[in-house]
Amino acid sequence: MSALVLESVSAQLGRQQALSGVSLSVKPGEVLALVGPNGAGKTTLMRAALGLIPATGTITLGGADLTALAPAERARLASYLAQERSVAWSLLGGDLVALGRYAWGGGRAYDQLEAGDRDAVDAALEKANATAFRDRPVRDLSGGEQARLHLARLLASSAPLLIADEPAAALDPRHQLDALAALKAEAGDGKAVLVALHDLTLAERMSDRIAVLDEGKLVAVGNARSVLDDATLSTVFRIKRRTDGGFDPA
Amino acid sequence: MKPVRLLIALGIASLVTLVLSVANGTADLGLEQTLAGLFGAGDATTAVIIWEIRLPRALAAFLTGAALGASGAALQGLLRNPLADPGVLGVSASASLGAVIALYFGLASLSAFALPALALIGALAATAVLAVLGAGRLGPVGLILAGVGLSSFAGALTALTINLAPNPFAIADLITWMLGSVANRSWVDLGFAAPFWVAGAVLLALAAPGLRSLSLGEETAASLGADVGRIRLLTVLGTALLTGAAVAVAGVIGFVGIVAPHLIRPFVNHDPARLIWPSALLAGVLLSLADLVLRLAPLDQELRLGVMAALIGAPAFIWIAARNRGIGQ
Repeated sequence: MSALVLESVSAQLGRQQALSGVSLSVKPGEVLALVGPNGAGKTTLMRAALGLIPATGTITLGGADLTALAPAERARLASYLAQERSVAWSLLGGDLVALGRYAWGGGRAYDQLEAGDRDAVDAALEKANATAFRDRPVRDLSGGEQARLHLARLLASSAPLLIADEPAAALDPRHQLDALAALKAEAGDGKAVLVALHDLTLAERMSDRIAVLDEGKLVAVGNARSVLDDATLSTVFRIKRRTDGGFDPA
Repeated sequence: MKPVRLLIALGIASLVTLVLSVANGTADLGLEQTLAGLFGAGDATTAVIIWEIRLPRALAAFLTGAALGASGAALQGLLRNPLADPGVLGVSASASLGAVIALYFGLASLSAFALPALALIGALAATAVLAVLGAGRLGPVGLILAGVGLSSFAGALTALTINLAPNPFAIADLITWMLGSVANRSWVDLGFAAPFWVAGAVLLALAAPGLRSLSLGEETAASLGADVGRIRLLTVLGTALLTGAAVAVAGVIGFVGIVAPHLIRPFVNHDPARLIWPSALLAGVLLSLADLVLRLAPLDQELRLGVMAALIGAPAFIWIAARNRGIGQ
């Protein structure tokens, strides 16, 4: 059973048609990368899949119809890392990551967590290479260090589906690879992973399948190593592949 | 600091402040006689001074401060803004308008409950307007702007009431009340406010874990499984009950709801859920001490508590604003 199924999903952003009749599914054990130029609808698709914005069509999370799920039930089926990663207060790193257990532990601070929830938070801090920031105020950390805490918050969830919008943003190259490797490891453990990525090289290297969005429509989906052919690259991204693997304007 | 230790320390400070408030006043009782009077061992005059005059006043100052401190802390968590408080959202001004209407139409002299009841209705009406305007559509900044508008409108209606007041005595009554005070408050006043304070505190306790999730913004909080609409409703309604009853007891007292959470925040690791109760206790202590100072000040005309709070609180507000350049980012 797929962790997420979208059938003919459309969504408006103001008066703009941001998503038009997209059908797509994400299966347990795979990393599906969502790529497309700015404004293609990647974030809108993720928000719609989580019920954060109104959408038409059918959305199924873990076999259940999205519209029938209460907020906490939905959160237990899908965890989300938004592109916007502001923290209003200088929380401790551990308290930030503990919010990943909200749907299970009811919004406790790190030191109030039950043993099982605390183990999940500690394991997530380890996977995101952020254990050192557990007792530090987030405002004392660099942008990249904060990004690793947010990734840990995503990983602290027990949801079978992880959705991450630009998980590599704000990270240096090494930590970009580490972040994607951590998500790939989650897929290895049987979770379904949906990531939006701008970096096509990273997408080809770290995902199993790639879905290409352009102007709100799904234009291609398939094997990560073959879907970004010359035609797709030039029509959707207006670039062409160089012989050394880099890209030039088309 | 461990949350429990902080609460114990503030609890002790609260008790000490209350005893100090009760021990000091026009009649020189001294600590020994005060304690004797408190526990029913003193003479009849002492008992009356302590039980009927000083203790209700001390509790009125403390509980009004506590209600405003808890409200400020919760609203700051909801709006993710360290300068939010019941004053900013127009709740205080609307409650005050209700009280002014009670005074203007002479309802306050017909029934002791008219003024507090109308103050509460004012606070709840402001909340209802904010809920209708804001339910799911206004973000934190929009809600603050709506509050500023509401506050100005309530202020304008209050000014209109003063403008149309039939005689100078009515104006004097209105102005005196608006300056804010806990002088001559009785057990009846406290008894009226108590159920609303309790209900408001329960609502804020229910909202607290959700306020922690809102640290990450409304979208992420919703994705975590938080019911953002419910958290907003609990917080705004709880604040309305606490603030409405506080205004009913003491008139308009500003800024304590901003200053206390600001001072507490570093001690609770900036956690918006753990901020609420320590802020309530500290705000209670601050307002009690302010009332004690103005009672003991050698002035012909007793300084009003609301004036005192504003004189100290407004510069503190500016200082906090200047230090928080990241607000609204």
